[in-house]
Amino acid sequence: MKHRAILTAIWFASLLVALAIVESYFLRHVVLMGQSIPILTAGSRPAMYTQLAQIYSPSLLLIGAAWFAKPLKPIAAGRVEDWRFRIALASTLLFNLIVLALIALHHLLPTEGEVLTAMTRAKSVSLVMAILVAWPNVHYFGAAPPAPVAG
Amino acid sequence: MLARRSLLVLLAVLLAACATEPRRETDAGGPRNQLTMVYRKVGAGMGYTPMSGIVVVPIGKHPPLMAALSLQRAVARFNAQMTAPDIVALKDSDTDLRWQSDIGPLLPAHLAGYNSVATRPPLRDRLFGVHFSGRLMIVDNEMRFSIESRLFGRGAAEAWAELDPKDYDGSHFSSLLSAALKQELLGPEPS
Repeated sequence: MKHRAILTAIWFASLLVALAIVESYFLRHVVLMGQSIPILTAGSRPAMYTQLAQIYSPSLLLIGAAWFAKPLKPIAAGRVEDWRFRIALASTLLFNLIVLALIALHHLLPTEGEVLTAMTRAKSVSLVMAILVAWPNVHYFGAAPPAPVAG
Repeated sequence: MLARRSLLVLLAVLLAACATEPRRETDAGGPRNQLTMVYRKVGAGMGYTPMSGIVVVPIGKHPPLMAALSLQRAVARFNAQMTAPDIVALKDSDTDLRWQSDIGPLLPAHLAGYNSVATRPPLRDRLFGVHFSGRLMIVDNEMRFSIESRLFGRGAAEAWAELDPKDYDGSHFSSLLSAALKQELLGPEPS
């Protein structure tokens, strides 16, 4: 239960940070041709948030649903459980840090072209890297907790 | 019965009012700007002495080339480049041409000039670019240009998006290009 809560917190925290990064593109101004100009104008909001939703919705949908339904049988915990959780934690953190770095790419490297292109790239990378987080998510969110031992 | 007839009459009047509501101009960026310039070729009854208001086409150039080169220089004043026609391939017989530019980012001076006279909401809070297009005809010793301008806007790191023509007065920029083109065709004013 604690492990699931930690992983869920990481996912939702990442989503919040991603939202903040995306919104910062609309608020931050840079000087271009002698004019103070926002990095993104309001017209790009729907496209940006659509891309963001496509990055996070598969994982958050699975996690959210798994809090209510547990379709899989649990694996015996045993001594490997600690290591299993460390791997899940590392995979989840790695996935989210890479995605956040790609979303924030224009803040980190301002010469990196259009922000929407960077978002599209972040989405493509997140789809490829989903393998990193698919197994931990299935294990920690899809499996029912082991039945309490009687007596 | 009378009430129903009155209701029908009222409905008909309302429908007629909706149908006859004046339509707004929705052409891209306002009406096309027209510029017509008379030209003479050097050697065709005139020398090198410039004549007021007449475009002199020097030896070695033909009217379509002269017109297109002047257009190219005028468009360059707006940070834009001509993308059509291909000036290198122009022939004397090309007397009806479609021309267009890429999107040139407008300088603060251009925007300040527009905002000081515009009757529509001022252009601000983004980078604006202008795209010119039109038609060039060489007819009866005249160069006839039609100029249409469309405005685009973008943030520092996004693609150009065309503005709604109702939100700006494109004829302002067409007039500026028209004036610049006239200067390019006639050469510098004698001091």
